Amino acid sequence: MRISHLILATALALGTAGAAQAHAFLDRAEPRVGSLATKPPTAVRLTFTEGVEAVFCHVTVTGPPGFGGAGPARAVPGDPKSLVVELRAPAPPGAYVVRWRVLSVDTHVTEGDFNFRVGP
Amino acid sequence: MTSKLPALAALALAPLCWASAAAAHGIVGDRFFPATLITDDPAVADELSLPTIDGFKTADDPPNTQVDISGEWSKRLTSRFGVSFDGAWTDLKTPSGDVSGFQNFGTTFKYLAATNVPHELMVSVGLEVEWGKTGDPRVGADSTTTLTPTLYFGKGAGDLPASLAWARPFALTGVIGYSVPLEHDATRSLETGFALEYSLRYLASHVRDLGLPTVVNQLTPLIEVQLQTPLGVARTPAPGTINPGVLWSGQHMQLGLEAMVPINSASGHNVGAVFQVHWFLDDLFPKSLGKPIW
Repeated sequence: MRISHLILATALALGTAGAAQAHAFLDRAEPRVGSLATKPPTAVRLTFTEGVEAVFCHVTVTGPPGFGGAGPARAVPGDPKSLVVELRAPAPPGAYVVRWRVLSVDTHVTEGDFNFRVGP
Repeated sequence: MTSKLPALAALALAPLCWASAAAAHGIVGDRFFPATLITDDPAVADELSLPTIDGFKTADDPPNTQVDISGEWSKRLTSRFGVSFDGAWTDLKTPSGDVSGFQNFGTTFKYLAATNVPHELMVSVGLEVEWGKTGDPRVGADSTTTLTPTLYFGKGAGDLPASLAWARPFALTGVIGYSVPLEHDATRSLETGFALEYSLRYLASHVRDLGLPTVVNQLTPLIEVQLQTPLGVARTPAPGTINPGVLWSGQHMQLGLEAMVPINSASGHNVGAVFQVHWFLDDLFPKSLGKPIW
């Protein structure tokens, strides 16, 4: 019986740690991870599972020959979990690689990469 | 040739050491190794497994019904070196009556020896100590202290070629330990286990986003296998279990549920189950309990 009380007390103590933050994993991206974009995108938007410190985040986008390149990662006003990277025209058809390295608000660093394609 | 082995080994390990250090929490590069229920994962982390509850019928004839409630607290002393403390309470229902009590308490020292980000590789070495006479012999606690030097590894499949991109979410973690009871005549054993995992989070964030809800993308189906092979004992079947199940990894905690299927008759004849709540202390308390002491 005392063990169940101990477990309950521990769970409550941990569960009420409301100010805690966590590692930022990529939750969503636009264009979507592994997708085929039929229209050349003008930006890449990354949404993470936690808030990120945009100043300390780094996102690169590489593409096929002729790709105009990408700007720096910027915060999205009102959405601390998202970053946006503007793509400079042209964005010709082919494979694009997005590499990201972000610092979450509790200072954990995570990184990753994914591809998308621009159609036809 | 023998004299060249250390140099060759050092050469082979050098690229691993050049890679950037892994974060706590079982992360190396793109790969997150979740905490597994039966076998220990290779990460050195601040985490708490509480409770882990398992129930099964033993291999005795007639079988006993055993329920264990256990916990383990892991603490980083440095970013690469940590210590864990574990304990378990057992309730045993036997034909002659019920008994309950604590198993021997344990301590594990673990050092993150090498990581390789491009190849999503993590290797740790450790020493597991089961302290004899700290538990109740009526529930099977041993009277002797046992030392188990252990190698832990984790390898993600993210370096597979693009033609096999669908397989990149796979990862394999495992342990190999040599168990040495300090009692003179006690049987030594080889403790082995592995977990084959398929991370839906990895699939969605690195390979292809299928548009599944976030809660589904946080699942990791897996199969764990655990074997204990007695050494120096002829024709003794190695008891063990095969454990198919699923993990759900949230931002601050993880839930796990697995079946426990006996691998042979020496392991029993009935399917059991294990459930675990696992807390990421480095996320819950990043500025206090969840960070390395030094």
